[in-house]
Amino acid sequence: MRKRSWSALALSSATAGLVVLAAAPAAAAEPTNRQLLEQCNNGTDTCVFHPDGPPQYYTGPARQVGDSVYNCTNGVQRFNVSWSDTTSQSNSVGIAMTTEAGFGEAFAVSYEQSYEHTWKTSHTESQTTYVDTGPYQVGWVERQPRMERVSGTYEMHFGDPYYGHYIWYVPFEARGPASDGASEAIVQHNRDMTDAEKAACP
Amino acid sequence: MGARKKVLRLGATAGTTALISAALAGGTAHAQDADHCIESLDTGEKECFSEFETAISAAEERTGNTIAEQKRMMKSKQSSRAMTTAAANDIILGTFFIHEQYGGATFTLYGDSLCSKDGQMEYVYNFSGDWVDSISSVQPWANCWIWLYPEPDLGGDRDGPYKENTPYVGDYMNDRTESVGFS
Repeated sequence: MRKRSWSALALSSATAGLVVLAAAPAAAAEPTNRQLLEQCNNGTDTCVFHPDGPPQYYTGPARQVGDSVYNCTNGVQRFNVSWSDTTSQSNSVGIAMTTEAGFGEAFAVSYEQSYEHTWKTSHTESQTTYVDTGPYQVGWVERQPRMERVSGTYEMHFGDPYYGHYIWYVPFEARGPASDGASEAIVQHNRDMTDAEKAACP
Repeated sequence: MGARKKVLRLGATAGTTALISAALAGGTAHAQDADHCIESLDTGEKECFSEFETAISAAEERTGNTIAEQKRMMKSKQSSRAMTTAAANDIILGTFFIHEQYGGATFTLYGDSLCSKDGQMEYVYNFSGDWVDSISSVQPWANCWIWLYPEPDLGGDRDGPYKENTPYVGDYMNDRTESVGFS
């Protein structure tokens, strides 16, 4: 069975390799990426994350923040919409990541070392946005959070063979709130009320 | 191309090293449209790809052999290198980048063993073509430290050791590297 490209392996010494070969036949199952990452700094001699490039910044999907406002008058109204919105990290393996321990710590160390700022596990943005809304219109606010994506490879060295091997490589991608300080898009929207909404006006 | 293994621990003769270098001189031409290359310091085999992820996957593929293949490799090495005691399988040793923060073209080297940390240079590699005087960031893999030199065969000034992911090698050696050593 050929190893999958993202879970390659190597042995660190011929002597140990022979022991492994004797003890671990070809039928040994492969661990999942999740299993491997759970071993990072929790069963490994070393666990290092190697980024494969600079952070990639992108705009997350637009989503409504705060409540909608309803103008039930015949004139233009200015509403204050107060909102608070939290953007959190996620990753390609789908397991919770804390930067204080385990693979998350290895990631955070490498990230800070490489890009000279701290990985944000979450970011909460709070604002009051003015929304000008025409007669019998609904107004609301949308935010498009600025995000960043960092990908690379974990290199894990085990003191004793793990699934028959001393070294494992694990692909990984993390996404989280951008740390570059650039501004993000916050947009007001308006639409006409539906008949049902108009009927609900006092 | 000047890929070669400095086989201090393996006891190779100067003649052996020269033979390896000569064989590699006729190797794969630099691929202008494939900016992410990998090369074996053991065999000199070089491949280039259009994406870094593909290149790293390929490097891992080269280092990730089946148990049967490992047996074959070890048997082969033991028969051809009676003095081999540490080599068992290939592993990624380091990646070099054209730009800061690991940007641009990449060059990943892999070899047949970890560094023995005995104070001697384990591997030596001479860059060629577009890679001469181009490196701005480096990542040591395995347990090896990376040293950068502005002349071939570890000649001239020296900078290092780079022991961890380094997004910028610094003004002293930026865009000056012609050869690298792993220790």
